[in-house]
Amino acid sequence: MREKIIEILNEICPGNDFENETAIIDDGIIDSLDIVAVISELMEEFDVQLGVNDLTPENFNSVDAIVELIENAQD
Amino acid sequence: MRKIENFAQISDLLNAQLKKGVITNNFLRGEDYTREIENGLYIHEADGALLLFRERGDHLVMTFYLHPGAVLSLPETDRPVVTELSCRAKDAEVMANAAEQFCALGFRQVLRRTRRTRKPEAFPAETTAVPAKPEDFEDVSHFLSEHFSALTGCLPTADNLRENLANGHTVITRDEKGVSGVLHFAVSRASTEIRHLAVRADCRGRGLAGELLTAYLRVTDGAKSQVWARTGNAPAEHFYEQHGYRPDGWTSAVLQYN
Repeated sequence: MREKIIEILNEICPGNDFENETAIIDDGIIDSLDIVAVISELMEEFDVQLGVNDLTPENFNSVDAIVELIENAQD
Repeated sequence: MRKIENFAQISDLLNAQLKKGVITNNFLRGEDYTREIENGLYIHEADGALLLFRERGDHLVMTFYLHPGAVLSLPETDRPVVTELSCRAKDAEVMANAAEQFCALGFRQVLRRTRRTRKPEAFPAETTAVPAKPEDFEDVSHFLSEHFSALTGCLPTADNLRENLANGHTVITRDEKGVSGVLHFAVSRASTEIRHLAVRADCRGRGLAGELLTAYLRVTDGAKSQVWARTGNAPAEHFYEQHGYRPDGWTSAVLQYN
């Protein structure tokens, strides 16, 4: 799952070290416009439903946070 | 336009906008919707587009979701409608196309803004500016209304300003005539943002803007700071550059209808 998430992030915002990044949203690496693209790709890839309430920095600041978000959505 | 009475009415509709290729300037979150619904929130569904209108008394603030191939339409209104399209350089073409679609309906561009960011670094220790207090609400509110456009100046609502003052997120200078300068700001997790900075006309040229900035940096402990300033406003651009702010790639276009 981690590798796929990193692949998605790199497709939308290439040239960043997402593997080790802990402030993806806070540092503006993924911006407000990208997040819609990210979330739609994640929903399609992992067959989960995410919503506007999931669009928080806490859920997208790191790959680990995104993994947790998706795993929670899969439960 | 349909008035939204509670978040449940809009939740599924908003979730349905999270699709590949959607262009949006709507970055509201859960708690924002609660506040906006209380103030007055309306929606208009067009063919492949969702428009949200936030009540601001004499005008409406619009945010949108545009799906690929959307056919835009606007609801009937005789009040001014303002929307701001902000993006980084890599998305400029996409946003320009969206702006064109709105202009085809009667919107016109009234100004552009450029965002500048100041990295955390040292700042002067002394300043004559002080944090404003809740009892300064009337003075600060009046000052902001006098110095910023009601339509394009992103003025805070009364509730927002009261909360801002209670949190100590405004600094002011005073003289014998009253408030002579205001710097009003917002604090988020990783950065702070100057929302408004102005000095009364008869006090300009005396360094008060610098005093206000120093007070703001003291209150925020010099944290990463951002500011949106009107593109081409040379005195403001020069001031921010002098104090360590640099364009960070984000720009915006403010469009107005009516």
